[in-house]
Amino acid sequence: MKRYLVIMSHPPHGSIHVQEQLDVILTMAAFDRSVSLLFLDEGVFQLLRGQTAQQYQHKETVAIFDALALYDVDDLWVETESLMEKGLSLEQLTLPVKPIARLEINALMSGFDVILGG
Amino acid sequence: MLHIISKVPLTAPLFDRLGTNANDSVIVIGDAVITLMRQGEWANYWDAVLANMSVSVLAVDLALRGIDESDIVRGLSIVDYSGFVDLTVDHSVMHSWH
Repeated sequence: MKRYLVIMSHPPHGSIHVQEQLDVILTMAAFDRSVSLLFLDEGVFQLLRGQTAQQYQHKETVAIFDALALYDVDDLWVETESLMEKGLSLEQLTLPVKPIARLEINALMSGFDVILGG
Repeated sequence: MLHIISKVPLTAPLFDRLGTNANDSVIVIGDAVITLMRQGEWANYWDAVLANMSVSVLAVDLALRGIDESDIVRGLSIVDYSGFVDLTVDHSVMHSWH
């Protein structure tokens, strides 16, 4: 079975980019595809705990992230340097995510058949 | 893996993420061809990539911008659209970097 990696590098709420990526992820998961996620750059803010989207009539993307495990989307990676550069730590994220060094990104990507997003 | 680079500005992390796998290739298209200037700020980064893997650039994107082959870093393969297609056939996994 083909393995898919979706690269999440856009910040949340400023555009519908993250929502659209989540739609893609959920669609693939609904068809039992093997989907992994890699959070890079501003994308690390997508997982920050304490977002108050619902309060401001924004789409609550964090709730969708929390539901991903139900669809067996649980192979989640975050680039260590991206987290540090944005002033965040693993403990502040809403999901258990595996850290990976920037220089290991290529090796991680090489293990997939299809890479989406960026 | 084929790395497709088309957007500017480039960033230093991008070059770290490209890795050093000799089986990988890079193709530079669109706006990103302006980063290939031999005297430009990214020349050293491209030289480092070229030490490990092949880097191609789409000829039409250079010509469109008035950039001559002698203006860009040495060691690049200059390809046309069919060369681009060949690269996508040779590499089963591709990624467009943003």
